[in-house]
Amino acid sequence: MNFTLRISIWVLVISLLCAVSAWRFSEDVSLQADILSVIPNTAYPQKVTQLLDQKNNSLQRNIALLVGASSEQESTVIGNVLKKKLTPFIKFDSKPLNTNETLLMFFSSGHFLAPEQHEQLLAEQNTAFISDTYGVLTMPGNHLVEQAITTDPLFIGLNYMRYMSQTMGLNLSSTQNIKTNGLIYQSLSGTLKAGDTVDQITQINTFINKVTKQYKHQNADIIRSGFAFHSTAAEQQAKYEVSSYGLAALIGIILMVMVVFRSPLPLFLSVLGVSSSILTGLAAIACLFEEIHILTFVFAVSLVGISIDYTFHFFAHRSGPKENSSLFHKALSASLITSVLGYSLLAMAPLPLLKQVAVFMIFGLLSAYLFTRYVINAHPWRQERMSDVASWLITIYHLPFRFLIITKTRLLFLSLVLLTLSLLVLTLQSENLFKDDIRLLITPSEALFEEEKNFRQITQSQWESGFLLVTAPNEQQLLKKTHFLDQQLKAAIQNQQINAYLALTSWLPDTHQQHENQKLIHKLLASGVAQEYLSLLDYKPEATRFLYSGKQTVSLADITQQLPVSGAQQLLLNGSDNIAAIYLLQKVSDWSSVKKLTTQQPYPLLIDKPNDISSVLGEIRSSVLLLLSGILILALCYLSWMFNFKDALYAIALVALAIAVSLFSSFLWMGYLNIFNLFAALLIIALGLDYIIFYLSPLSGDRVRLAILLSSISTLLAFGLLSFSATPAVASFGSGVMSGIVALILFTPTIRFLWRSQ
Amino acid sequence: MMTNIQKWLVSLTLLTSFNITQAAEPVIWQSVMQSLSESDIAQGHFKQSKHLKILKKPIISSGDFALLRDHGLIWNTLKPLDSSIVIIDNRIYQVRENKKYLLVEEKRQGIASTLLSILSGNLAALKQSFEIESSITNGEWSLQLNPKDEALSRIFKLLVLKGEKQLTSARLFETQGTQTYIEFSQISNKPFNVQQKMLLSEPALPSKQLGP
Repeated sequence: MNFTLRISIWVLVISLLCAVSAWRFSEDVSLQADILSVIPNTAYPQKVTQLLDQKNNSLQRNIALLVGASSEQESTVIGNVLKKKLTPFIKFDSKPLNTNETLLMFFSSGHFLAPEQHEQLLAEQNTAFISDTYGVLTMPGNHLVEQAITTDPLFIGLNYMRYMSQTMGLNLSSTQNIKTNGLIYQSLSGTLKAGDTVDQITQINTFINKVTKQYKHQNADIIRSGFAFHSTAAEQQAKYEVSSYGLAALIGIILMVMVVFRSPLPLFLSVLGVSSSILTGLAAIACLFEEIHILTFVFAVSLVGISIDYTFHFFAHRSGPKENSSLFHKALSASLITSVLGYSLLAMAPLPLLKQVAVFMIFGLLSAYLFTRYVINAHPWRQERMSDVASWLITIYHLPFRFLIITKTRLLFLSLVLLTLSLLVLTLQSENLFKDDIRLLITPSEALFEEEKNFRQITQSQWESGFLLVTAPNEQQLLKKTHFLDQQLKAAIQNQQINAYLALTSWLPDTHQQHENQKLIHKLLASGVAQEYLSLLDYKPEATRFLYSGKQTVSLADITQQLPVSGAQQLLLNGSDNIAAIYLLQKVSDWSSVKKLTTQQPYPLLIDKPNDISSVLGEIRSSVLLLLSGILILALCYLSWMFNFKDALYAIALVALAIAVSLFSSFLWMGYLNIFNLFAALLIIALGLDYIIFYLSPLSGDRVRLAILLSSISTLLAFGLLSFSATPAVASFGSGVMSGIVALILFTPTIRFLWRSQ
Repeated sequence: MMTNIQKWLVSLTLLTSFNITQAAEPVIWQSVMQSLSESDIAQGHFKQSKHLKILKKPIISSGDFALLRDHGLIWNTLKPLDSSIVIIDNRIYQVRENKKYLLVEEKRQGIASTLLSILSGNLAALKQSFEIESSITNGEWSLQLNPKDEALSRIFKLLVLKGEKQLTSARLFETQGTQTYIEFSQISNKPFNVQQKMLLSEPALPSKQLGP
């Protein structure tokens, strides 16, 4: 089969794979941009995980805006303009969070009594009860009285709010506009309508900028809050980095190939080879995974670095006098096998992101190998003289090793390698080197984080990321269970272990208690003192009785219907066969006391996704460390079988040395290490073994050096750029690989020119 | 010798002229502060008429009050029903069996601190939150307090204080239509009894922690 036919078949196969990917991405596969979703909720029981996923899904579409201006009127005008423009994208809550009104409507129904009022009525202290009520009525300036008196002349609702406010440590009157820094802010909240989040958020951002500019004379200040803003920024950043860094790396590689090989055909075949690898990798993950994380693509850029090596080795092999082709193919196969073995181990890691990267790399490399071996090789190539630029590059690269050979520093070099390795083993034992906090890896969109901080400060909604979760088979059992937790949390507030807490279930007595409360109120209304009080208001006793005889009982569903969809409503999770209440905590000063609560009735779960994920990440990091050791041992066995044990041991020592340099320089650069530095180490192993296999093969030294130098430069171009990423995870990976590759360029030739030469 | 309460009332009267005699304001202000610092206690009777928009007839109540200047106020309603509230700083308490329970804690300037400032004649505090206009007609002075503070303007439209030799009345116009008219009488600086001292000094009891 000639070259033209082979390349036609190849292009056809790749086009098919491309079509498969496009179909999968349009039908079943979704892109995930939330960095917290990199790790699954393995820390929680399955039923809780399902409930939490439900919460996350709704949280991800929540939007909250603070609209500020110099005066209340202006802030209302701007708010209305913004609301009108954003209505195609956001389903706004019917009104901003208005806890006072909601509570007033509900807790005047005669089913709710604050504990001291309940106690008063139980002890038949009707006079005291009415006396307190009269005090509230006559208190000068108590503007809530006017609102409440028609529906709740006994002010039971107001009193219940006071009780809630004091025991839960909350300021419930969050209804008013907020004045701060000379501006009046009003809040708008809602949920994104169905559609593509990124598109919606992009348009929302555009409108917000326009409105801010339009009303700049009124000092318009619009503050955004919501997960969707952050995930969109992260996704756009990742897309920008993949496209811009990818393009820059591609241009650099094209220029290099043109200068070194002086022909467009090697360039065309290199680009086709790399593109085929990427498309094959993409098709593989699209067929094997339902949900692909955006970070997979960022890390998968590393495929460019490895797959182009194969074509470089091929074209370097064709420069100068003819060599035995089987030797070249043997080295190429060995290089593929070590990489595939390494990535197969990676695929076993308990992390979807790593599995996706591994699958992408394995299929991509396989494609690059097949293309080099069976397509490029089919071309009737002529052996050509090495270009001047290539010869010049090799001469410069060879200089330091000439010096090493002359000074016979083999022993010294070996001692250095061993010393560094010992240090590496010792330092990796230290847990303090690593920071596993997932929040450190999130895209630092500083403007958005600043807005989020301002939002929390202005609205005083400083809830902890950790919350308590109580589950039960049904509502009544949930209310009984949470009753115990309420008592414990109220005690914690009094002991100043927490500042406040918020839970829907705390607002609701169980059915039995509600009936009892209503009976007590009706008994009070029949008393002389209550009738005397009501006569002052010109209220007839029967009519008042009617006010407190509404619905038989109030359920959690009744309460949630009254609350904003994007707000407190999400504190209740309804599963298929269970129900859960979320307890938000504010300013916890003593987490040990909160953890202690989880060991007592009703055994709530303490859920802190960022922290829990960080500890899972720590465990995964330890397993990746073991995995790396496993890959090095496997590589040692394979290289010993291919060459000999001594050479294999030295080779592995060199790769480990490059890893040590990579980790050390990353530590100096960032001040800590993270799991992504270990992913970088994995790539260093793959590339290092690739270089060493070619150095140990009986191929021409100059050609091997040329190929390795070119592939190192191409990898440096790809990963050096990644170290400028705004995403700390990607930057850690990029800087780690960059320093590791530099170390490989410097150390790996010693295996041929220092180790073997003696 | 002038009693403390007389000094306080004189100083309150002097306040009224501060808008008319702008140039002399610092001198008046100094004398007001001086006389206020000499007197800590005031007691008297009140008659309150509260007109709620929703009710046909006003709610009329009467009782006595006791003021510890710039600190606290006991507002003791005796007729038609017994009821007692205590205001200390920015907190309003309900009194039951001589013990006080927290009813409202104001985070911003509100009714508690305003009422205390009015009865204490604390011009500095009032000037921060209100535009003050004064006038004198037939020997009776009148102070009109227009809230300039955002939080207060949600509660009050206007406050009008009137008096001659002493403060005689306060009229509170609330934003939601409620009007409260309070007449003061028999103001003296009689010392507090044990119960009053206790209510204005002892810490409040927390709300009882029983489940609803």
